[in-house]
Amino acid sequence: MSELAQRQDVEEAVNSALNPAPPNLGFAPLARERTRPVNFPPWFIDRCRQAYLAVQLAEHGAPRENRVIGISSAVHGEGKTSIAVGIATAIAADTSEPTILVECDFASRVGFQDLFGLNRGPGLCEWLDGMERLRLVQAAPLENAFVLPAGDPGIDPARLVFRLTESHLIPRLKPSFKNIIIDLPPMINIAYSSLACRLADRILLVARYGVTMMEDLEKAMFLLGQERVAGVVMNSYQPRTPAWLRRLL
Amino acid sequence: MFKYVEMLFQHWIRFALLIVVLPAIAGGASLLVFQGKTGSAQVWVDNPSYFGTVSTASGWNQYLTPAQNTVDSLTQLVATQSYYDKLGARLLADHTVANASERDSVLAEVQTQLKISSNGSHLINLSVECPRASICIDVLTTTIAVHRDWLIETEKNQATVASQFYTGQLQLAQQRLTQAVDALNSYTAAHPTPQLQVRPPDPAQDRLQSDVNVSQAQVNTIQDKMQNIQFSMEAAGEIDQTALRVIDPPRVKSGRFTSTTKKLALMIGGGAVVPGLLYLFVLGWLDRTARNPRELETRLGVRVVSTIGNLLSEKAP
Repeated sequence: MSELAQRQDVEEAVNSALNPAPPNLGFAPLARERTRPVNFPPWFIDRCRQAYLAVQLAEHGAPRENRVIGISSAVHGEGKTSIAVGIATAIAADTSEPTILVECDFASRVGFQDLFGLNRGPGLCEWLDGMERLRLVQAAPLENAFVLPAGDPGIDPARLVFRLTESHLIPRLKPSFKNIIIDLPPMINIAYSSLACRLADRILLVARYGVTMMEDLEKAMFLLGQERVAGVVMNSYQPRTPAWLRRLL
Repeated sequence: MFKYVEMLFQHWIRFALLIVVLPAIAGGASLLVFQGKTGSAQVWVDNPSYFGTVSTASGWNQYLTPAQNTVDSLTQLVATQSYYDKLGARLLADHTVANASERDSVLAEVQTQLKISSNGSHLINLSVECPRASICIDVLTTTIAVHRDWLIETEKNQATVASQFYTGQLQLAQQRLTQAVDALNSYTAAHPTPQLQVRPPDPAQDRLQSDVNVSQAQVNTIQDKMQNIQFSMEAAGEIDQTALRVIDPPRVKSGRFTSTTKKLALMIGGGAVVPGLLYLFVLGWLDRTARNPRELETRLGVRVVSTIGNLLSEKAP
């Protein structure tokens, strides 16, 4: 594990991502790997902005170093990854600071590769296994937003999550990325989710309206610990009750 | 609460059918099925003091108006089995009802539907709701007639009892008068007074003369009373015809929906809402998903920092 913490390729990957080599005269510039633009509607980004702005990371008046926000949910299929992407986009657009979105949900059915249209290739899992360099991909169209795809976790994702916590990857990304958004695994039925959640300072819990069971949310809250949860984001919120009546109830 | 309202709006077509359409159909159907008629009559009751010595107001409360007293006696009368026996016999005799079972159902309705109320000091309203107009008319006519018969019978009975009592009293008084006259005659024979001579004061003779006078007065008084009683007995029928005058004879109001019909329609319509509400309750109770941000905040102890609409609907919540 210690060799992971000592590997220098993290900084190299970050440097190459943030500071691409200037093109040599007479040659085409070396293109950085870029994702396909994800076209979320403005209202969606605005609601994600509302969510990240509500996360209090430091005491009032204390200087803020980094934002390390984890996005989790009770079970799969609640829109956690979409909201993580939306929050990362909103932060990157608002702050103009380098922002990275890390995919730590190794069991997700809809991964970054599908969402961002990435080529099948190495990712975080391969780096953790020591087989590949860290792959940072620029999230188009923003210049300051990057994604770190999960890659192929294989048959033992729990081991990889354990290696991830031992690798100190997030602390090593902090100097270069002011904003780190981690797409965490769901809390229930995933054994390593509690371990993965330690990567984030504060966590936003995603619940899907009319789908997520209250008991599951309570269990997720218990596993996360109330003090670490910055708030709940209710996804797919489409109440049928008229607004005036909702206010009365 | 939010959960149930949300369920209501989420499945609004289902609940519109169950809670609005079905009860409306049930209520409308009951309006058609339970149609009826409302019959009414108005009766004027005169004050018994108009009839001099003859009383038509036995048992009346002096602090109530004639209408209130009559309503009281009518209400008690229609609570008796005798009244229903007479009414049933009349309905069958008039062929207003086809058979005994229909008669029984009409009588059962009359028990709850016949309303007697006073309107002012002398006017009485009688109303009844029946399946058919002819039944309403018959019920009201019979009720008034039975009450009148009852009044006449009561008067006659009381007069007969009083007559029997005073006949005995008269015989006694007449015996006493005869005895007093005999005693006076005996005394006068024993103590003759010469003619053309002023009778000296005689206390014994005066006492006997006084006894005769008193006995004669008693006999006269009792005879007067008996004459009055005899008059009452003979005139009771006519007096009760006058005391209880039918101002508005029994008639049936237009319209097919009585208050009972409307009440039944409301009850059935209201009852038809129950399955829908029950279904809503079960749906709401079974739904354990997160829907209400306020409930989430209460149960989890953290704030709902953002509510995000459905991306597929491309519309903000």
